[in-house]
Amino acid sequence: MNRNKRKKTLLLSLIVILTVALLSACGKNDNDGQQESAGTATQTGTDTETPSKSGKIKELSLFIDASWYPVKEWKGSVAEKITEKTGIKLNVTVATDDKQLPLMIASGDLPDLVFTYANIDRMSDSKLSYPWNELIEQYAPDFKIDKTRIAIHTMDDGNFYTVRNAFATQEEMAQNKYSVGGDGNPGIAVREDILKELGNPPIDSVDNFVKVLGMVKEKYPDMIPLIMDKDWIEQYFLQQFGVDGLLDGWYERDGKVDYAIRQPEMLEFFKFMNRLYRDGYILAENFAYTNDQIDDQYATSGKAFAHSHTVSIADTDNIKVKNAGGSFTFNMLPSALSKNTKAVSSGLGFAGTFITKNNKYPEASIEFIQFLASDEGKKLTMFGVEGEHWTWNEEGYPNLKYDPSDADFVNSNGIKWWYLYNDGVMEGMLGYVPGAQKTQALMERKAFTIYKPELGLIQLQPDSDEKTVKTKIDEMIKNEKVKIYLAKSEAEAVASYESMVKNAEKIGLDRLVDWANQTYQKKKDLFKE
Amino acid sequence: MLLSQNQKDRMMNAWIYALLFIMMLSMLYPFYYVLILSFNKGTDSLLGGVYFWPRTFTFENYAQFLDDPHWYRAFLVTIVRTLAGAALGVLFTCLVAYGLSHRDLMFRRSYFTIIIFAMYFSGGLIPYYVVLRSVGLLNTFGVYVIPSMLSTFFLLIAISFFREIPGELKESAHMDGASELVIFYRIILPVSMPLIATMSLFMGVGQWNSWLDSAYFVQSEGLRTLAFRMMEVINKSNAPMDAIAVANSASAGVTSYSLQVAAMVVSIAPIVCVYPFLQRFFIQGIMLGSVKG
Repeated sequence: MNRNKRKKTLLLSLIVILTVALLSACGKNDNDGQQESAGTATQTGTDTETPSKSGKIKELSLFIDASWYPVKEWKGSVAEKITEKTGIKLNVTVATDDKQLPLMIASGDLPDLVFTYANIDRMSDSKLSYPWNELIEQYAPDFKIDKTRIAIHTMDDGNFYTVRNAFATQEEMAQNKYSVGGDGNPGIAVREDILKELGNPPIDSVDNFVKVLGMVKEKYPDMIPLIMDKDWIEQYFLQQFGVDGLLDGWYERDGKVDYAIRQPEMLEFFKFMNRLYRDGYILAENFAYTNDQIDDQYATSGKAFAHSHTVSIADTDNIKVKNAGGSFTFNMLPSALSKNTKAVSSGLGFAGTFITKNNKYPEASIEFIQFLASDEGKKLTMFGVEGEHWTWNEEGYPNLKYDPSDADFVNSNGIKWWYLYNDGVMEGMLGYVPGAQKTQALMERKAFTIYKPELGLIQLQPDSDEKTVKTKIDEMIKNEKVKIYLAKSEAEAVASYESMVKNAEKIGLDRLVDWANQTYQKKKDLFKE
Repeated sequence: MLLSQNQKDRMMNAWIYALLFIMMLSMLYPFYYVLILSFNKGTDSLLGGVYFWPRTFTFENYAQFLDDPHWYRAFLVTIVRTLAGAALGVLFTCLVAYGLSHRDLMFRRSYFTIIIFAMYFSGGLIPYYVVLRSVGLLNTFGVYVIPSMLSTFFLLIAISFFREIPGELKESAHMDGASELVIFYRIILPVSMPLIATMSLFMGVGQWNSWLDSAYFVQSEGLRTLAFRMMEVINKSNAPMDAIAVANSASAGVTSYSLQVAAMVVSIAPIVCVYPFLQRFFIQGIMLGSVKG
């Protein structure tokens, strides 16, 4: 009896130990631990045309500092092609949250490569990363990067440690007609059928748009004239009033920089938004939405006339309505509704790749980046494999053989997401889909976009006094702006606006603006030849 | 058998029951709410107004959730870590507690000082990470089980529990020639079932819900846990606009939130199923070491 019991216990213990061992083994075999496999070169049997000098595939560990990243493994035809061309294979780890990279920095446990947008300043440090300029000079002297990009990324120590993707200069954009930009631009879609029933009144100015909203409210009292996505409330209208940037940015006039809320055009914008609310064209609760799909639901279920979101909103809503068996369609409003319409792009790009001091193959790494930065590399990353996924149209854009909004196809082939080095021109072409409403809206928008990357260089250091002041001001604006929108009369809205500006000045706006001007003058010189 | 009660007592009882009923509802309703949302079409849930039963019934959320093979793997890892973590944690903590429960143990005070200090002060995440790296636990299954084998909180409870066991039991076993280990396994553990059940429950639930270790200390996809996968779903809904645009599947009635609630239901279901069987130990366990008797 006792012996039996003992046997059973022993057996159970063995089973548990074996299962644990099995799982541990799986973990080890997965081959992306920074401990075991970081940068260890493995020999593969394939002897395709490997350009790497040793003729072997080199493995590098890459940490992607973006927990939402949709691609988590180095696989698919794009990744395979890049490996074939460069002899580099990546072991990818995607961050779980935004604290993981700081933890790795603090513990000195960095992988070979880091791709980040939130920690560019932190990683641009000679203790953590190799300066690109040194590596280029030493290993890749024919790797040429233009002056503007170098100016943007040069740190106080005179080195640059990365170049962000998704950036293009005004000249580059002007030279490439078909580079229209991405989806992250504002747009408004309106119901085509309702517009027809109203007798197709023209919407060629802000006032006419408001008139149409009034007609909708009168004829369809159960319908919400305008529903707005929680993240795309202000942008479209700010542009129409000729406001530079957004509420929490800088604007420049005659070489001087000031905070966006003090622009003369800003008050007109606030009065307009308040009027939309007072006339009952928007919902008060729209400013309190925490979910970005409530507006979609209103629009696609036929409860709203106009839907404010991004340039792709008409295309997206139409697909959703069709899938749900609906019969109505949306059309985009023109990107410019007035002669004052203006968009100032002060963007410096999105994210950049760093070659860390732990990197086993700095030479191979910079050559890898150099390939990605070549015309062939940029096209391969952004559009996929030539012939298989796209063919080049002589007009100067790719004819894609797939739908770029088909997330499953794009992600499984690794199209777009390996843009460890790319630029806004190439990425902007992915947005060019002949015949799509989004393309039309983006092309219209391109015509009134002005590029001022110098403004983007007014960057606050984390933990600095200026950063604290700006954070306080932005937090205050976030609360106060809703009071202006929801004011009971125009006079009250104006008073609330003035009190918001006064509050900002009390918090220390003038001091912040002085600092911004000093920084701006200093950074502006970097762009000079 | 109800004793005869006067009016006041009945009033008091009615109040107590009413309050308990409200408390019960406030604790159960969130679970029920998550459950009905998981069976409601995601895009429909966004409009609000779903309180008592699904408005647009669907299995879509579960279908999409179970469509991803990652979840099965995560489920397996989580089950094994919960069983192994709870079993080893209970065994090891009891073993240490048994040793420390001897009043004539050498350097007993020093041990206690170290334990109490460790209970209140931790080095923080970065030193912890460095320690795990230096002992080679990063990216192994061991990182789930080994660091949590000793729970200081339960150690103190177990010590006071073992001290209450009559010394005569141990003495008679000693006289029969049993060693300390034999006494521990044959005498002490069998009479400590309430303690063991309570510890198993707490440690098991802790293991089941833990996501931080899977996030920071493991990189292998094959070692990810259920709680970590839940975090992933939440993270995906935080993608910036440009990425959402590409990842936007225009046809789905499933939203990231409806997927989250489906994942929540699946991940709490096993614990909810096990709990009723352990509840009586749990209630006894709360009183452990508090009353002599």
